[in-house]
Order: sequence, then structure tokens, then C-alpha cells
Amino acid sequence: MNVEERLREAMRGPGYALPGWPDATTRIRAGIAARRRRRAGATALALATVAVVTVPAFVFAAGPGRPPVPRPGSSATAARTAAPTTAPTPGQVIPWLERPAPAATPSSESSPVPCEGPVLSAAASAGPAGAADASRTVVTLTNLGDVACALPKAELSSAGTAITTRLDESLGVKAALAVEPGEAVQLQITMSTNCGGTPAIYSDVWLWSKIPVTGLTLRASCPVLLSPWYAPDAADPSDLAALTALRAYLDVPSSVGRSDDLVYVVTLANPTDRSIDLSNCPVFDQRLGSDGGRFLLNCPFNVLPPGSWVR
Amino acid sequence: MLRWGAPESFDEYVRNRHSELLRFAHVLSGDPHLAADLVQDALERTGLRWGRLRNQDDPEAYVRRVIVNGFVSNWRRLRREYVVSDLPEHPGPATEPPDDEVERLLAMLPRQQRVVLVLRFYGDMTEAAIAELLGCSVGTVKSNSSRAIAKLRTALTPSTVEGSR
Repeated sequence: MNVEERLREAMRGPGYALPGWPDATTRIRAGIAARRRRRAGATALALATVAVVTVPAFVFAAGPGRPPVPRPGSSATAARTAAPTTAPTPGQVIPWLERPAPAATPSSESSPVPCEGPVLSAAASAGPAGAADASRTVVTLTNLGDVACALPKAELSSAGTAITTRLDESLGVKAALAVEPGEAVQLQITMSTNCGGTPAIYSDVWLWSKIPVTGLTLRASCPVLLSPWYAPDAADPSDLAALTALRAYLDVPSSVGRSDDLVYVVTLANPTDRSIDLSNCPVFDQRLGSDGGRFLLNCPFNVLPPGSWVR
Repeated sequence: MLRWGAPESFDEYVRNRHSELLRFAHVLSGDPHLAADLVQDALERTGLRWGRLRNQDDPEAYVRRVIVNGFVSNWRRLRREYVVSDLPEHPGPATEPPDDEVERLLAMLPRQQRVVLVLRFYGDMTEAAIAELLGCSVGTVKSNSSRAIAKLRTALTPSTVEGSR
């Protein structure tokens, strides 16, 4: 018998057999339950370091005019049953709803091909009202092809001459980096004649010198402002811009007992003098240690009146 | 020797497989108490992930991997242990002791080499499968195996080997 055979025989012989556990499932189940309790305790402790950052522009920071934030109560965990209302009740705690946010569309991951050529069509339409000396136009770019394409920065030209533009980053829209087949993205153009001189007029406008934009006439003495490309269902860019004025505050207890739930309250305040539309409910990023994700904020009402706050 | 059978509930799986896993862990560690700890730990981890593991082709590979990793790592030393006045369980019926000389020599091997021998001669696993389970290269498995066999061959004198016949 060589070494290998002896090893095999020794390992498979009766010497290593151990008696089974008469209560195998009970002891394993008990161990699993204990692990879950420990994990819950660790999670609760880790929550003390939770960072909740709303997207695109919620800021968690205490500041002047912070609304009173009572300690969290058990009502924060109650199930939400009420239908959406138009405005919150003062002092009302809106139960949290941890609902994953839909993926941003269109996505850049599946669109390596630049958007150009005859499979794209661009059309202009009147945009939302702006200041008296400015006008807004929305350009809709539709992908008529079979593959997604990447969206470079918009460049306008007329009669072969590039039109001076500036990126308008104040709108707060989430930039779309690609457009899927059959879908469309939009771009808001803001023109102003407030810069003096004779306004320039462009009536034959092209995108990237390759795609004619039907129905678009530019008339401006100031540089033309272009928003980033955005998905048309993202909301009116001006409404998204208003979201940047929102302030959010996080109220977390300093400690929590092992295996107890950590209940924290997020207060969303509108410090401005105008109502903010929340019908397109924002999303937020939540990080808990290494875990986290992007979730849809719970918006059971459509409008946050000026100077009001909700929890 | 370690095979994944028909789909089962986790409780059924524990009932049906824990004895075999205890034996595997015992061969691996040479210590029945450590074997029990390793199997308990592995089955608890498995239970937490059962929903995902049961749909895999060979969920028991996960259990074996946890047992092996638990043995190779120093988790037991790092783990907090409590001294209690009463034994939590009574010892099982005595079994025939393992081949003392083989066990003594196995105990002298580095853990990684012992693991390779156990997976090869007890688990009937190929070198590629062992490498995958251990997360190392096939070459590492081969070198560990050959070194371990060489040590055992040197220690187990010809007369001893022949004497065991």
C-alpha cells in the first residue's frame, strides 16, 4: 500500500466518523437567528453613520431657518395608506417608503455610437415661459434608428457658421448621455435680447451641422443658453431647478439598543417664497456602510408650499 | 463523496447532510470539536443564503468552501469564546479513532497542504476543482500536494507503509 492509498483508506475509514446531531435543525436555526440579531444590531449601529444625500441637489445641513424637528416617533414606521394629496398637513410625518428609483433613461452604457446621421430627427417647440426679455424653446431629438447612440454636447450652427452658446447648468436636470432607439431626449434653449445691440437671427439651425432642427428660429443678442440633454419625462427643467432650493435635514437618535429599529426622520423644507412642484418625486442616495442604493423619495403630495416643511 | 442531491428545504438539507459535513470537517481539521464548530458556522451562513444557493447547480460547494476557509483562516482564534460551567452538549458515542500515525503526520502539515490532501483523497476532487475552491492556481495545488505527499512518504517509512498492509 503506497502513501496515497493509505491516506485514502485512513480518511474514509470509520475513525473520522462523528455522530450526527439529534437536534441538528434546531441548533442551526438557533444559530441563524442569533446571527440575524447580531446583524440587525450591527446595522442599527452602522446607521449612526448613515448619509442620506438627495439627488440632484438636496443638502443635508442645518442652517438658518431650520424648521423645528421633533424627535422621531413610532408613527414614522406606520404603513402609508392615504392617497396623494396636493399639500402636506403641517407637522405630519410622512412614512418612509424605500422604493428603488427607476434607472435613469436613456443610459450611456449601451450607446457607444455617437448620435448623428439620418436616423435622428430634431424639432423645436415653444418652451416654458421665462423672464420678459428671454424666451425658451425646447428641441426634441428623436432616435429613429435601431441602436442607441451617445449624445455629445449640443452644438448649433446656421448656414455653416457655429452659433455661440453657453451651457446652462442652472436648470438642475440630470444629463442624458444617450438616447435609446425609438425614444427622444430634449434640450432647452434660452434666448435673451438683453445684451444690447441688434439681435442676431438664425432661421436655418442645425445640430452638429448634420441634423436640421425644424421649426427653430433663434433671436438673441446674448449668448444662447443650452441645457444638457435630458429625458422628456424628467420634468420641466425649471421645476427641477426649483428642487435645488429645497433643504433636507436628518434627525437621527444618538444611540439605539441592540436589535431595536433605528428610526430617523428626514425633514424637507421649502425656504423659498414660491411653491415647489414635487409631482416628479426626486430620488435620493442612501449609504449604510458599504451598502446602499438610489431610492425614490416618498412624495404623497404634489406641492410643497412656500415656507413649509414636511417630515 | 460529497454530492448534492435533489432539491430540499434547508431543514431537510441540514438533517440529511450534516453528518457527512461533520466527517468532512473532522478529516479536514483532525479535531472533532473544531469540526463541529466549522460545520455549525458553515450551515448558519448557508441558511442565511439558502434562497439563492438552492438554485445553484452545486450549493454544497458553498458549504465546503466555508468549511475550508474557516479551517484555513484563524477565525477560531479570533472568535470570542466563553467558559461555562455546564457542557452545552453531551459527547456522542465513542468511535474508532483515526489512523493515529496518519493523523499525527497530517497534523504536522501546513493547513493549506492538509486541505489539498483532504480534498484530493477524501473529496475525490480534481486539482482544477481544488484550485477553484481554494481560489488559487492549479500549480499551487500541485505543489502543495506533492510537497505534502513527499513529507508523508518520508515520515511513513517503507516498513511502516508495508506494515499497514
